[in-house]
Amino acid sequence: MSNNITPDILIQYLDNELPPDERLYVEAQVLADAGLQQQLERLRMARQAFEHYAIKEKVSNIHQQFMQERRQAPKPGTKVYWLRTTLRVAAIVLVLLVVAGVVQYSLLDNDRLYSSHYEQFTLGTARSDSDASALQQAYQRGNMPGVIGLYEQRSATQRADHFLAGQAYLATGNAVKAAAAFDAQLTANDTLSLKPYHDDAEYYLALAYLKAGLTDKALPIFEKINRQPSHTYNSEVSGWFLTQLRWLKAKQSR
Amino acid sequence: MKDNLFPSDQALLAALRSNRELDKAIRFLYQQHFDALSIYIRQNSGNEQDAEDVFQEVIVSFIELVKQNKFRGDSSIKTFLYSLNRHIWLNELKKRNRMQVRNTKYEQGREQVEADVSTFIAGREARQQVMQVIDQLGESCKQVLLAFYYQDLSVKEMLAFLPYENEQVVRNKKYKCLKKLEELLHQDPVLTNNLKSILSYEQ
Repeated sequence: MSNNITPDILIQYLDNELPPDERLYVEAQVLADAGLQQQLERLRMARQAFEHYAIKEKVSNIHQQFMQERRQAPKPGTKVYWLRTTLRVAAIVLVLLVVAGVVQYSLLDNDRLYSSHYEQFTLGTARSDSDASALQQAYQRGNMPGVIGLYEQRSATQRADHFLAGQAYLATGNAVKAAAAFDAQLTANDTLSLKPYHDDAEYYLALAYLKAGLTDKALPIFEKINRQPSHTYNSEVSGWFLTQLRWLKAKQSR
Repeated sequence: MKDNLFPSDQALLAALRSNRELDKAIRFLYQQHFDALSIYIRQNSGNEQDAEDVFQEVIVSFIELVKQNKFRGDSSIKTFLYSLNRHIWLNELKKRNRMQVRNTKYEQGREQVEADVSTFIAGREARQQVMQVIDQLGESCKQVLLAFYYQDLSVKEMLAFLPYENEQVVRNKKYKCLKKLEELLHQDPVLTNNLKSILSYEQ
């Protein structure tokens, strides 16, 4: 220090702790002494730097508290968010199901349901041609008009000829006559112990009714097949298929 | 729920200038602006930690500008904080020297911040050096200087919680600590020059 101005006095000057006359004296000395000027400047910088430090410390402490509170506090709206999301998804699924149901319902008709399940019956070839009736031979050859011709000439002599005739009628689009033939097969089976093609006749009778537009007659037969796990065609008659049949029946009864 | 302690920008600015209400004001700024400003950082290559760090710097810078009456109120506090947030983050990205694209964004962002604020932010590194120097003072010095220069406590009030015998001992401790800090600055001409440029702006 080049004079009697000590650092303590400079600090008092900066802190406004000096009386006015001493303050003026310090200012005069500082003006005249470059070394004092530099020291005063460094002290001022030190004070301001410290203020920056203090602010930063305070903000840092509040920051830590704020972040801790946020982490500890239950996130507001989380439950509401998930509830809303779940309800939104449920609503979308419901709307999609309703739309799908409406589309399904509007598209439902006998032909569509019949086509989804009909498959032409294939006669087994285990039996030799010599044992087969003329009607059976015609069926094996795929000659459906021939089968129908023979059947209508009352030449049905074999136990399964009603059934094959029914198949021929179905294949040629005559569902009513097909139903009558299948029904005849089932009636004939009542007197037989072996009951040839019984499950097949039931299933195709129901299909024939369906094709003929007689849903109310088809439905009980399909329901019976669905209730019997041992039935040959049980796996063909699903719950969804029955539902569609019921819808169709309701649609037709309006 | 966000509280409504400060119904206007003017009320908030008054609280920021007053050391006694500063805690409440800082908390208010956190509650009102942290989430929105964090989103900007996270949407621009930053992570959660970056968002927290930048927000702290935004608040510190803002308080200093307010205390130095450098916030002129040309824009709302909200708008100003957004500008600071963007500027500090783009400055950080530039420092990280990640991509040329970000340099372009930096230049664009810089144009939108008031020129004197840019100068203020440019001194951040020097301020960080100051923090390191102050840490060298020791806890007792920091405690006394904080009480004097930040908490606005009288020497009599300080005696209630500081382990000193009388008021003169407290004053002597203050002189000693500030001199020590001045000496540390004196020993580091580069830091002194950096600080000088910051202070020439502040005065």
